[in-house]
Amino acid sequence: MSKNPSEATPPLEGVAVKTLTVSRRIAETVVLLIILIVGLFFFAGSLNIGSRSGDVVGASTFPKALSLLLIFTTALAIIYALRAPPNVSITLKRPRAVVIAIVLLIAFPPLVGMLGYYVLIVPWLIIFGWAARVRSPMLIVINLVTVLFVARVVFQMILRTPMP
Amino acid sequence: MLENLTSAFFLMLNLNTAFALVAGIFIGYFVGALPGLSSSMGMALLIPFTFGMEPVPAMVMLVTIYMAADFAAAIPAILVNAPGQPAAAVTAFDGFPMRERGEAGLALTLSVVSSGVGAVIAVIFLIFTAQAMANWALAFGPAEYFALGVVGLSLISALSTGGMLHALIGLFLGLLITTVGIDPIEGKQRYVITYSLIDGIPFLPALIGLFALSEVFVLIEESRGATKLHSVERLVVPKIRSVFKHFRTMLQGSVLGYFIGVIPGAGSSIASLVSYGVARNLSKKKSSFGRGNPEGVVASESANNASVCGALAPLLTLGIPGSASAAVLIGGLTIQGLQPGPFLFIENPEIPYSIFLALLIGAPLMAALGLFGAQLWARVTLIPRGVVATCVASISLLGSYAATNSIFAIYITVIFGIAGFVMRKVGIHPAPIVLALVLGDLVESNFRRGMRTSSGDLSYFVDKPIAATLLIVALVVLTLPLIGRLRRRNMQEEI
Repeated sequence: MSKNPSEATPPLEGVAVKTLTVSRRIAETVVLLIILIVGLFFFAGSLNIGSRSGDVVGASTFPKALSLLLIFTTALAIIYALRAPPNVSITLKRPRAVVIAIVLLIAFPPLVGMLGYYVLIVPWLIIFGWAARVRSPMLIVINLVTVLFVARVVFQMILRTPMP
Repeated sequence: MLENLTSAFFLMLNLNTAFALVAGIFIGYFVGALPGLSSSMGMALLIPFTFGMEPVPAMVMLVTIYMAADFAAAIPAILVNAPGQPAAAVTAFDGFPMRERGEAGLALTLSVVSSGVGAVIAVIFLIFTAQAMANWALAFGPAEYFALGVVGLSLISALSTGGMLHALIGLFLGLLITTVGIDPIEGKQRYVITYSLIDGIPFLPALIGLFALSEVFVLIEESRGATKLHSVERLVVPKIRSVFKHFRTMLQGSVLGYFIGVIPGAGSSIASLVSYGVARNLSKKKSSFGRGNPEGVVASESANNASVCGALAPLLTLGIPGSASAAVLIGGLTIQGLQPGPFLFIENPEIPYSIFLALLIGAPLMAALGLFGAQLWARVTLIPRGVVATCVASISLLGSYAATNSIFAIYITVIFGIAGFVMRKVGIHPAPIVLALVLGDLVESNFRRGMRTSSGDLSYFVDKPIAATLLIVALVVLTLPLIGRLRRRNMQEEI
């Protein structure tokens, strides 16, 4: 894995974009391994699903067959991925911003349960907006007003959603 | 049919339905005009807003978003060479050179009028063919429904942009996800590791995660700083004669587009390309195509919009989504407690007929909005991606919460959103997963019912002529793109 902050994609409106370049072989193998583990989890779980006696196709048949198919296709894809030429790469533009966005999204559900929607959404949106390059005060205010309007008027008042 | 159309017409006069129609058109235009937002993403994001609505206005709104997004996609394609939807890329072949020649007004007018004509002709076809298809499907039993589900699943080869192996991984993963919860035949619990999973993985939060939230990361990658508002040149409205001299191409594109749209998986991109190719081959000025020939814009746009109506035929009558957007539309129907398929025409005929009328009434409105609001829609393309990303992210989280009023749904959206983005990066597209989420239950429950009826005899599924034909169709649909790829590879090797 190589991080090339100097290696920039063509500038967007004069702004050089930082990129993270990862070997496709490595990235694909890692993702496929995670899917393989998911397949193994489903297969192991299917062994504990009981079926009514006398049924040729019971409650566990589909999960068992599908998890085996997933394990087989993923294993095959891993073999192909490892055979791929090493110079092919995957580029992630603005990696820091993407990681910040992922962290903010993962943190959102537990935080919204603890703090409540309206307390959380203001700082959350400002930080998320910063990551998405929404940095002018006017755009931040427009963003906040739009989201708060949708939450309060559309969801809470019209659709009667009980906000956390 | 006439009776259903009349009652649907009175439903259209309802203020809520009329409002849903107009709102759907505006939202669809906005989604279509913004490069980076797809109609499937826009619809997935908007489904939570339909929770409190009656089924008819809800479906009218979703369908008009679907159609209007296709109408508007041509605007950025012509003005800035950035198609709002993949199918509009064909429009840009000639639309953008026309704009460079100073004929942006003519190109936009042709695109909007062709889209309108294409939609109206296709809706008329749809009205006459849908009821017949639904009547035919009424005789279906478990074997036919299973085979129909398999046809739907075989579309992964057409819908996925990555390789076949990756599409299969997405498909199996999606099908496995549908097995979570209570099993449809015996009522046994499967993978219920927490009580929140008793009803399975909630479909809408998963859909919002895969289609909307995963796109947010792409928008963040592409987001730039403050965008300078470029001035949009004043558009000159052309004479009516210069538009309608292409009427023959409009007709030809509309008919082609509708019938290509009916074929599940073919989609509007193929419809545009085929129509463009036919128009080019029939033209006396073949070499001018790709250099700003108005016929190119007309052929692409009429077919593109007609195919959207075509895709509604298998969706409404058989419950088979022919495209990613159609799969999202099925999500919208199921949220309203409606099951697409032949029984929709018997139990809730007001739904399909209101959809037909909404498209028929909406098409001229969409054309008018495109003609008179072109300057505005051109400016929509300049909204910074970061602003769109922030709004989409927060509305995705809010919408998924509203689906079940539980924070668990937000977890599902976040997991599917991040997983969707990561998988996209390595070539596993979310479309096969969504297709599996839509059809998984249909395939499993009908297969098991069939096996029970036949006491475990697999030949039950091939003994019935319709089921056997459908399974052959599935095999052809699955293998045809593979053969095409092999051929292309051989040709490249020969070169």
